Amino acid sequence: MINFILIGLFGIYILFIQINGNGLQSYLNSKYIPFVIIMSWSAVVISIIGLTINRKFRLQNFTNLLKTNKLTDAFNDIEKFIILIAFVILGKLFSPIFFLFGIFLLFTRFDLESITKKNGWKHLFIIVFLIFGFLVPSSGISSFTALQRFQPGKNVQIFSEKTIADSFGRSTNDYTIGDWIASLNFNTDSTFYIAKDVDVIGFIFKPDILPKDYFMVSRFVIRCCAADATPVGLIVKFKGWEENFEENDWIRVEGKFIEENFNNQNNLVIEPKHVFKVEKPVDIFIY
Amino acid sequence: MKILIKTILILFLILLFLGNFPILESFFSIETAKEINLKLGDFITTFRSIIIQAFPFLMAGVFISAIVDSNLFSLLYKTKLIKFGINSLHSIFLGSPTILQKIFQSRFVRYIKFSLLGFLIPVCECGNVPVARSLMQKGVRPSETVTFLLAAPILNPITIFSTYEAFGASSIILPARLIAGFVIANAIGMIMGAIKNEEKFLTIDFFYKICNVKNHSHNVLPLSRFINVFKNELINIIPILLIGSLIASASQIFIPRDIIVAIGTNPVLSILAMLLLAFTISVCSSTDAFIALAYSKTFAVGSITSFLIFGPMIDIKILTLLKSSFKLWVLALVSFFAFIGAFLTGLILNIFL
Repeated sequence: MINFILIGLFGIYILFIQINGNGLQSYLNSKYIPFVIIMSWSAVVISIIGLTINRKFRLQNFTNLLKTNKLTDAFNDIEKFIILIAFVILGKLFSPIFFLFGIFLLFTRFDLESITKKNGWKHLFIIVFLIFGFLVPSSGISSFTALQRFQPGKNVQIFSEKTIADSFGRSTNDYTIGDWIASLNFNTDSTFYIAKDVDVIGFIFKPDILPKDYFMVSRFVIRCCAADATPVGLIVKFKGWEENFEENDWIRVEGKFIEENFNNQNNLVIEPKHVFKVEKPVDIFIY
Repeated sequence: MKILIKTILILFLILLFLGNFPILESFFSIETAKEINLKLGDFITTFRSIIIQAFPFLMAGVFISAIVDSNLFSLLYKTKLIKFGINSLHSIFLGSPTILQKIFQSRFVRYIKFSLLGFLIPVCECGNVPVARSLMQKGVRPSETVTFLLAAPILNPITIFSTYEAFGASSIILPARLIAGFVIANAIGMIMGAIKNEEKFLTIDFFYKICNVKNHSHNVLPLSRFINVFKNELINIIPILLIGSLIASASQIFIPRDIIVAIGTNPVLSILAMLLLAFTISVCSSTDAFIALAYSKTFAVGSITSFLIFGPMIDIKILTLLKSSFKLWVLALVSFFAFIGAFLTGLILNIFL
């Protein structure tokens, strides 16, 4: 019975992420979302079918409850553990009295020895994962991973082929960071870009190779999910940016491309007219 | 013991009640606390994304293996067309002498047949141990079963699908994985087949069991059997997936970049590291492509491929499942050959790409 509950909760957990915050988009390529949701729903449905087929548990539990009038005999240990967790969550949401009552139950009524037996550790592992999963919010992938994965001087491929062709005939003001990177991969000649207008949204990321007063306005390119996110970005020249902004802030940069020489090479750099903070967008990845 | 468990539980509950790591700021300076929070945030995001991405593929794999394992097919079997199709496939692979079977009689071809059986019975590696046992009970030679056990987790539609989604068609990883998996599994099967008296591969208990085969009666309803298989497989695989993605994402975030890059760019060391990882985390073959994906930015292509070849063949979980039917020296020999095969494949790719 506990197996079915855990599998169902696992499915519900993924559906919960979808409706909570930015949704599944902040974890994986959005083309997978229907597949993920269908499979989570089927996990939920199958566990419900399993629970109803498994008639034994309902009768046994309730007859035990009626016969002995004791809470402890009606549930097995893992179920008791889940009840305890429920008290903790209630305590967090409403008042600490629930929490204290849970501790009281643990001391007086509940024996929890069989958690250590047989499949107990598997259940416990899933339960702990689900609790932290439901309670701990995710702040999203940050500049720390960008630093960990950044490879200077290496072209990052943008995977959707549409971007380059779509960009033709549009004002460069409408280009996103993804469009710029696709076009820079296509045509590396920097003279082509000088004095073009730029207006992009991204987060601030400062790799070690850039000198002081420069940072990158960047985004993550993902193929599949956040596990393979690679940072790409355009260099911005902004004297004293540390005073106004921090790394990881989401900003909008308006300006023009210029060419500057540092690190013994010519670099394409944005000279900004305006830089201001914006809200974190819903769709943060480039596919 | 009881008191110990209770105290641990109470500490855990109190930690949960306090929640959201406000403790960090009291222990460290604000700067360090901020950095730790960033790291934790990235760790949680990577961890979740691997799990969310792997879960539907896991479900698809478990679905199919539950359908195969329960008798849901027997309902379809009643319609004549499918009966004809399944009959001919069944006779090619398993049994009764027909014209087709005589064509496929040669031993060399039998190994190839059994290595491709995964396309017909696409169960992932923990599900195929029971299948392998029942194959041996039907009279398939142990060395052919070894070929099936090694090849089926790699050469099956779900694994191909998930590897394709993770690495794409342009990468060499998918073809290299399929070809090397096929070649290594067949080679090991043939090497083992060269040993005479294959019954000495098996443990005495299991050999005794084979000799006293009883016909299982399937009185259970197909639906409830389906749901039972489904439940048992998922509840066994999910914790392993959780541990695997925990290790993968933690090693991405908490090991300093310099060390990761130093190991990842060394052609030999990177393969050894990935093989060790594959052996320990024991992730299911339908989802291991997403675990490998976390390393794909820093590790060489060859080492990723060797991870994807060795992981489905040999790891702690499979060895524990197999040790009740095969003798230890057989398992050691098979693991050794699989290790050599995966290592050489990785090395060739690392050197020539």
